[in-house]
Amino acid sequence: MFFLQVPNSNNTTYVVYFGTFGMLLLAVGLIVFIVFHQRKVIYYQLRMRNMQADHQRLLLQASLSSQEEERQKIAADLHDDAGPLLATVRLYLNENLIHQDQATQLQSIYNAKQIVDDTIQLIRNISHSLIPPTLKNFGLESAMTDLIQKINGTGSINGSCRFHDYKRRLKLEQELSVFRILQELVNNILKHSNSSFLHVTQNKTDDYFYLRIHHDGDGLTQTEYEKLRDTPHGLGLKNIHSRIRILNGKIFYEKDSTNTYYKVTLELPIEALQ
Amino acid sequence: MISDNEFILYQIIENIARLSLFIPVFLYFYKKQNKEVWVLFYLLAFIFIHQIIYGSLLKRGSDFVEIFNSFYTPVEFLITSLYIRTLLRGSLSKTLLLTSIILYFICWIPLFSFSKAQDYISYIRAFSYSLILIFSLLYYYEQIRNPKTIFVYMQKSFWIVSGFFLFASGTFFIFLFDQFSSNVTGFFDQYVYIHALLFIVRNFFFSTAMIIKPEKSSFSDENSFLLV
Repeated sequence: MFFLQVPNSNNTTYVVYFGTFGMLLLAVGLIVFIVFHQRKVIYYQLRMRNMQADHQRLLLQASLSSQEEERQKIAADLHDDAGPLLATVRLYLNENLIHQDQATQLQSIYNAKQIVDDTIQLIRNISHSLIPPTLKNFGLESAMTDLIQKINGTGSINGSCRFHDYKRRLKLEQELSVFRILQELVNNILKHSNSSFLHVTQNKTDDYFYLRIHHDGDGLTQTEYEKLRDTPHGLGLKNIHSRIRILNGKIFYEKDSTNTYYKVTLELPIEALQ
Repeated sequence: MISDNEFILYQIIENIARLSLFIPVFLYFYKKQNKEVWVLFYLLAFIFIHQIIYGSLLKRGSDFVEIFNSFYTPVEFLITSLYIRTLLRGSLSKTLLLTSIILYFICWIPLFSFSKAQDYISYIRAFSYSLILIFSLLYYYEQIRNPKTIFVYMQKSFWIVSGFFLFASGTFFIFLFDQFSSNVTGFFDQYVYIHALLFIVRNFFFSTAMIIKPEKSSFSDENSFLLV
């Protein structure tokens, strides 16, 4: 305490009075500041939480709507296609068949067999739309190549797919999620972009797994994507967002600096995919 | 020299301050308290017992008065610091506080052994209260970074820490200059008035802590870098 060599009475008295007063003033000021500032922080956090809750609600709604839509599609397929087919089979195999001559019986059985085959194919198609067999058996790369080949088959767009580093497959549920995201993105490009080419590429770094789609049509920028996603109509985009969130990933919508093509990048952390 | 009238006045002021200790103690028993304030009760009990023993030793003119008194501040510091430690949530803050307590006692040993009695009291109190000020700031910082309730003043701990904080900041200068008290005329007046007033204010804060009902709603945001 070398600085406190103040035996002067008056100075000490003043220092003590002003020092104490100053310290108290600072202390009271600080306490008041904390009370008000803490309340501000709380209100800010509350607002953020409400916003997050709203966002979660929207995502949940989108997910439920998507499930309902899928169920309705399956119900419609079963009701409109499988139902009449099986009813026709029943007609061919009715009780009067036994009273028919042999040629008619054979013809009826053949017709019924044809319809049963059609029904089997129909049910297989429904099952394939739920989980593509190529994806299940051969993985994401084959499923994407298959999808792009089907698109090429229509002749409306020129598609290509190239996976640069996909030696080890992801888990099936992760592959399915990624496939659904890519399917939705490709579907959006086909529906809205009027592009002439579509190119899907895959890459990997030590930390991230990347999937990119390039196309030369009308695309979205990141701001437009976020704006559309938060509207009640952007069901597909909401689904993409919720699937990406499950994978802890990110999506970037970009326009090339030369304005010749749009690029959508899906960035997934390797850590989350283990 | 202090006149008889002045001495009586000081006695009255000091006794009023001492009596204010009873308010939080009474409220502790009167209102059903949760675990948050038990340390405070021990602190108040310690101050109370210290005052009684110190008074009786002083009356008897015992040689142990100074030695007995020299343990008061470290014990008060220890209880206060440990209490603030129970309030902190971040492991980094807790470690910092614990390290400070250990360092404090490492510094205390030579100070206690080699300083003159008057200097020792002055240094140790100024040192203790500066650390308590820092610990209180740490507590406030956590309250801002990671608030638990909508209104911070609805927490008992806020009033208790604010009591420590105000008392430590208000008495810091009088304890720091206490070593010159014999050379400075009028210093004893200042000491008695400021100390007694802040002692009453601190007990008022503690009493408020005993009265208020803590808010049920809670918040937790684990973003603070101190909460690692």
